[in-house]
Formats: sequence, C-alpha cells, structure tokens
Amino acid sequence: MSIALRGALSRAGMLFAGVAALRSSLASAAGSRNGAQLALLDERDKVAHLLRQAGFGYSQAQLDTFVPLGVNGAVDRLMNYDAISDVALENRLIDLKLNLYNANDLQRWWLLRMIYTERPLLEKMTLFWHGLLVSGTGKVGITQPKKDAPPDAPLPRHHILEQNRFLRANAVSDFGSILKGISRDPAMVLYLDNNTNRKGKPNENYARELMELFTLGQFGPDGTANYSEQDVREAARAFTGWGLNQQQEFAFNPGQHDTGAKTLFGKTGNFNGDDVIGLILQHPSCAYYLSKRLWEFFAYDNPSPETLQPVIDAFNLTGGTVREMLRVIFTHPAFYSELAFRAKAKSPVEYLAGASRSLELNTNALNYQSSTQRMGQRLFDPPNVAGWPGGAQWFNTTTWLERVNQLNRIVTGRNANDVNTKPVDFFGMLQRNKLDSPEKIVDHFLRLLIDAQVRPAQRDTLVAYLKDGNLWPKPGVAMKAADPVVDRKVRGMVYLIMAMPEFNLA
Amino acid sequence: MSMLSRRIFIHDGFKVVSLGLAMPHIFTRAAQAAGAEAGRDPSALHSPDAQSNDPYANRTLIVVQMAGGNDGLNTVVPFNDPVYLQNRKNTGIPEDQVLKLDDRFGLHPAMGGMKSLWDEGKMSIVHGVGYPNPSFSHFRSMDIYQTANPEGKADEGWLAKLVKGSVDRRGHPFAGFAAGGTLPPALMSPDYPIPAVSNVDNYKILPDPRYALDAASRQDALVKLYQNYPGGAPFAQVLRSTEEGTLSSIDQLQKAHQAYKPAATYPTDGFGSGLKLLAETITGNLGVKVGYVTIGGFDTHSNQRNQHQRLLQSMSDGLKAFWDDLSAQGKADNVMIMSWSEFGRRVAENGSNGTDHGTATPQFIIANNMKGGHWGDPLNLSQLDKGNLKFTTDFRSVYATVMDGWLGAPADKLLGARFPTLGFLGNGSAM
Repeated sequence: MSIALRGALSRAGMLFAGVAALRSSLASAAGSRNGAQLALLDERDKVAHLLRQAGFGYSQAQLDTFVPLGVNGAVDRLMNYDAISDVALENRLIDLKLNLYNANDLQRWWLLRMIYTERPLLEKMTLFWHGLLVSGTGKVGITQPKKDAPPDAPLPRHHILEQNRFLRANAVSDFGSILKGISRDPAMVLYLDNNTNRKGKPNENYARELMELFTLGQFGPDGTANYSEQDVREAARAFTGWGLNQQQEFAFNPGQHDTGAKTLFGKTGNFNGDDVIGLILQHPSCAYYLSKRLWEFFAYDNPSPETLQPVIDAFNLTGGTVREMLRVIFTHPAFYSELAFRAKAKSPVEYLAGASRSLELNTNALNYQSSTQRMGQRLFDPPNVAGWPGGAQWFNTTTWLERVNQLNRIVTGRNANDVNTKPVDFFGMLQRNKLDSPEKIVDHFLRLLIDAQVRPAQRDTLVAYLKDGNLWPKPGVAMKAADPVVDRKVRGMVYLIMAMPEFNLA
Repeated sequence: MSMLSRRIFIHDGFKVVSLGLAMPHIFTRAAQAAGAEAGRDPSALHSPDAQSNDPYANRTLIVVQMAGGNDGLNTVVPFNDPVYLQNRKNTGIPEDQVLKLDDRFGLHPAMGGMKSLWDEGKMSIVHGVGYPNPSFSHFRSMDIYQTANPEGKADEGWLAKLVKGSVDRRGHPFAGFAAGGTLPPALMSPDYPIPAVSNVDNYKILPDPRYALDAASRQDALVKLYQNYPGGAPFAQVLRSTEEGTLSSIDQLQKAHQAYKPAATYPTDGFGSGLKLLAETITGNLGVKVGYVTIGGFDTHSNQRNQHQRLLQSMSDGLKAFWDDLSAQGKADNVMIMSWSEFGRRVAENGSNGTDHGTATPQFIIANNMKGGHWGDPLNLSQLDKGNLKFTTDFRSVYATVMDGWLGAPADKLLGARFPTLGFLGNGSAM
C-alpha cells in the first residue's frame, strides 16, 4: 500500500523506499537471529520494551519495580502518573539552582527530568508534543532578566518554558484542548508569526503549518489532498487578530480580526481560530494523522490500516482523548510484535537519558546539552517547524561519533570527587549480581541493556574482549575494584554494548 | 574531452562500487593513486592528476542550500519593473539601493561580495527556477529538490546517487562531504556513508584516558560487533555504513585539517565555518566531488528586511572569502558553486512586513572560466497564478547542466529523463 502521507517517513523523503524495504525485511530478521530467542517472548522483555518506548529506559531496580506488575499493570502505572510522586526529581532540580533563562541550563533541566523522573510517560509525551507542535528558541528567543532589576521585580515571560509546561500539563488531554491552547501559546504565536496576522493582509504561516504538520498532513491515507491552498488562505483569515498584548500574553485584537465569511473544507461561515480547530477535528484525516504520529513515535513506521484502526477508533469515541489513544497503543498486540522490536532509532536524548538510567548515573548533566546537540538534538530548538526528522536521519558520521564519545566520557569517569558526575559503580554491580566470570559479566549486561538478544558471534566478541590481555585474576583470588579487568575491561565492555546497533535502537 | 574518454567514464560510472572492497578510506585519493601508479611518491605530489587527460578528474561541485525559501525578488531585484515595488511597499528594495547588474536587475545591497564575482564574469544567475505543480510546503518542496523527483520520493538523494554510482576513469569512487553536523537528504543513502562534519577537532574516537593502549582492542571489538549485526535487522544498512564511514574518514580528515591554512578571512558564523571546512577538504585533495553546506533562516514571513539582509550578507561574504581562499591556493579553477532554495516567496508582501511561501526563485552558479550572466527567462510579475510566479526554468535543467557539463556524469540516467541544459558552461548564449 502506498501511503503518501507526510509523516516522519515522507519527511525523510528519499528514505521512503529504503525504510520501507527495511521494514519488510524485519520479520525475517527477527526469525534469523542465529539461535537468539525471538523478540519479546516473555513478560520481562515486554515490560522492558514498554519502558523503552513509553519512557527513557530503566535501571535494573526500575525494571524490577515494573516487571512483577505484568504488561497491563506496567501500563497502568505509567499512565496513572499523577499518583506517583516525583518529589525526588523536583528536589534535585531545586538543589541545582539552574538558571532557566540560560539556554544550556534550560536543556539540562529537561534532560535531568528525562533521566530522573518517576513519571517517564509524562516526559516522553511532552517530548512528543515538542516534536509535533513545534516552537523553538532560535526564533522565539529567551528574554533575559534585567541585570540591575530589584530582587523582587517580576521576571520576564519565559515563552518557551511556559510552552513546555503547557505541553506537560496537557500531555494526555484531548487534542482539541491542546490545539486551542497551543494556538494561544505566546511561544507559538511568535514562532509562526500569528502576532502580526492582520485583517486584509493575512500571514499564512500558522494556518499552513497547523494543517500540514500539526493536525492533518498534506495528504490523506488514500493520497488525496487534505486541504487546498485556498483553505490555507481562508484559515489564515480566521486567525487574524490572534496575537499578544503589551504584557506578552495572548490577546484577541478585534480590530485586526477579519469578520467576513470564510470557506474552509467546503463549509462557509464567519469562522475564528477556534472554529478552524473545530473543523479540523471533524476532518477525517485528523484522527488518522494523530494516530499515525503517535504510533510512529512509540512503535514503528508505516503501521497497517488494520493496526492503526483501534487507535483511530479511540480518538473518535473519546473526542480525541490522547490518554485513551495511548492505552490502545500500549496494549496493542502489534506493539509487542516483532515488527516493533528495535524498530525505533533512539533520539539523542533517549539515548543519553537511557544510558544514564541503565548505569544509575548520578549526574547534574553539566554539558550533556552540548553532547545531545552534537548528536543532532537541541531541546527547545528543533531544526524547523517539522521537528526532528528522526529515524535513520539520527545517524551520520558526526552524530554517531558523539554517541560513542559521550559513552566513553560516562564509563571512564573515575574521579570520586567529581562534583558533576559521580563514577559509575561497576564493581558494585559485579558484586551485587555475583558476576565472577567473563561470561557471566557479558550475559548480565547484555540482558540489562539489550535484552540479551544478540548473535553468538557478538557475545563471543565481548567475552574475548574481556579475556584479552590475561588480566583475569587466578582461580580463588577475589576481584578488586582496582583490578585492570574491572577498571579497564568491564568499563570497555559496557561501552561496547551501549555502542552496539542494538542499544541505539528501541 | 574526447568522446572516447567520455564513454569510458559513463561506462565506469555505472559499475557499482562496493565500499569495503574498493577503498580502504572514504576519501579515495584519486590523485594519490595516480601518482603511485606512475611510481612517484604520492605524498610529494600536490595535484598529480593535472597531467591526466580527464578534464573532470579533480573537479568539485559545492552545493549551497538556502533553506526556508529564499525571496528571489529581493535577492535579484527587478528594479525597473513597476509591478515589483507596487507589491512590495514595505519590504521592496528601491532602485537606488540595489547593486546594479544592468538596466533590469540588481543584487540585494548586502551582496557586494557576489557582485564582485559577477563583475569578473565568474557568476551566473539562473532565473525563474521551479517545477510544475509547485508545492507550498517547505518539506515537500525540499524533498522534490533533494531527490530530483517530482513526487519527492526516491530511495536516496540526488547527490548521493551521483556520488555513489560513479567512479572516475581510474575506477576510484567519488566522495561526498557535508559541512555541518547534519547530513542533508540530498546526500543520504541507506547504505553509502557520506561524512557530515561540523568540527574536525571533535571528529575522532575518544579512548579511555587511563588505558590508551586498550583503544585498538576496544575498537577492533566495536568493528566486529557492527559486522555481526544481522544485515536484515532494523537500520542495519545505515548503522553499519555510518560506523564504517566514520572510522574510515577520521585519519584523512585530521591530516587535511592540520595541513590547511586559510588564505582568506572567513565570516565567523556557521556558514563561514562550513565553507572553511569545505576548503580544507579541497586543498587537502581528499577527492571530494560534491561538497554541501546549508544556510538557513530564509522563511521570512515577518520583519523580513533585517533577517534577509543578514542572511544574504553572510552568504555573499562567505562565498567571496571561499573563492578568494581557493583562488589563492590554486584550486578555484576546479570548483563550481551552485545555490538552491526550495521556493521563492509570494509576489505581494503580507501584513507582517514579510512574504509568504511562493514559487520560482533564482539559482546562483559560480565558477572560473564560465559564461557568466543571466540564464533562463526572467519571471513575469504581471502574469501570475493566484498571486504566484510562473516558473520558467526547471531545476532539473540546472542539475543536468552541472552534472553533465561540470562533473561529466550521465545526467539523463541519473535524472531518469533528458532535461535541456543551460549554456553557462560555454556552449550556449545568455539571454
């Protein structure tokens, strides 16, 4: 079936056929992993998969919390995040005294949330919305507090942070409320120029991207256009006068609003912005578009119509309630099928947050934002209004190098007095898990980090690397933290596993 | 160029070259190998292929993407057409400010650097570039330009296809190179790695600082782990080719970086650094056939004047510095620059002192020994299609001219159809 929908894939344009070909080869690949078990056979693997997709990975302890709940219980725990305290994270952030008006600290603030939150789905959904309903500091900027202002003076509006908080607060709300809110969000109003969208000479920027990228896509599932150029111009008229006031708050300016009749999707009336959103929500492609975007964010690209239908049904039956759409996705058999196994390229923040979680890293994330930027992802400032293209486009020579080099920085940190990032306690991990042979060590970390699903040749390579150099203590001699086999080889082996293709995928 | 050598080239051009077998390094130094064949010390040779009878051997194409949709009317200003300023009351550039090229067109006042290249006959302007049934979506239109496919669909970018499928007369693969940390879709291929580099100082594998001696053993294991990742598994092609491409490009790039001394002062912005990096690969004889750099921010829906001024200044100053640098290093004769943008802007400005998405827009070509001037028919501002310009030159004609005339590559085959070429390489007459 040829879907000409503009989604993550068609944005990758020329990779359309390439990715589709990869997809079709997946089923056979899953069955030919040279004796390794098939994907997601047991409950542990399914829950681990869920925590990678619906969150940012897990430590052994986090996994141990979720696995006994089973898949359904784990889904409940992820979704009912209001019932889970995140006070440890909030205290950690308060203690760091980050300056959120500083773009680097602002990115650290969110990265730290991804690493330390007990509500991973909430942060993951906030990231989803950030990549769908895009605004960025490159255009919106961050107004700095005045240096000589008295201490009790109000701080300037922080548009992009306020937008992030809006998206987090509405992470699983109904799509209509989210669209009505984002259309009034000062960062969005500035980012897509609606602040100067005036009667008589409208500015099309918001109206076009609202339809093309945020809600409908250019083409429906059957390849027909979802809207015309005339629809864009008419919708722009409906949003005239939706701007900001002197205090940089959203304000409707009736003097700049075009009150004439507009015709959108064949319907005519004196529409305003909310009416446009209402018409968009009724457009048959809207439920499809959001369902597909969610499915591709959490599971895999180009789901079949049959796979997607229950998600679309949830949208239609619940007035576009995202919470209900997510529940369908996370309990969908296809979500746990071999098609979904390692079918997503981890984004840089997923990769780095996931590595940090797995190693139980204690860090203030200093300079983590420069690393994710080199990997191609600057939080709060996507490359353009389409967000990050993702998929295969996360990988090029520069971004791949930064992935392995950031791993190197993490696993080779040895300074216990480092105020930014404490060394990973590899020796403690070996002791806690009673790992006293190269094979046991390799198997433990393969299971923790990539579900132990690798080819025997890959496992052999890791075991050989650990044994290389004859550093292993003689039988009967206990291992010590300073032994080269621990201090050098175990670090190197963990680096290798996390550098593998398998750990770059989720 | 004789017909014979051309046929050899085209024939060789469609041998599929397997990366791992054909070359140990991603930047195959055609020049170095040629020197070695002649029994000379390759490292002592600066440009050994100068003796080759293949005129294309050392040529490079530099592609400059003006991302966001460049307002062509305010870049190459049709100042004597009264319709222009009627539509651009707030954003238009009056006649007394433009850098006049002749009695019809003038460049934006920020483009002094490019104006000097024009004056020396080293710049061509291709007017009215676009394609049928224009898309007003940035993303679809970029896809169309980057795949050279009217549907914007292909399994790889048009430049990746050009670089990947082609070898020179000695059988050495072409190399591509993207300045900046993002690989542009035009250079993407699922299985052929093209380096994207933003900062050469970071372009290396960091070892464990305490056990530098373990680095080789660790890297060997890394290579094996990638080799043994199943070929049919997800993302196998892109991950494996990226890993191979990275490891095989580091050494040569570092060498070129250390040897490079710029002979001009580049602007300190991202575009300037990107051009400088491209100059390093050219002066370092890395065999780069296609280099790529992007300058973004042309989506000027509001307050266009300052933003557009800043961007064109950056672009023009950067390209002038790049050309001065290459000229001083004796490399400019082998380089051609081609700019492109996904669309131009609407003729009538909007109420935000900006312009909304439009259609046709000019492309710039810069080269020595070129027939500079205007190419393609100028746009008619009085005959619009729903407020939008009707394109006069298909972008694939520009691509075909560059591929065929500059790189000696089989444009018809690569584009899947024959497009008329333009005359800026010497065999035609300007308008």
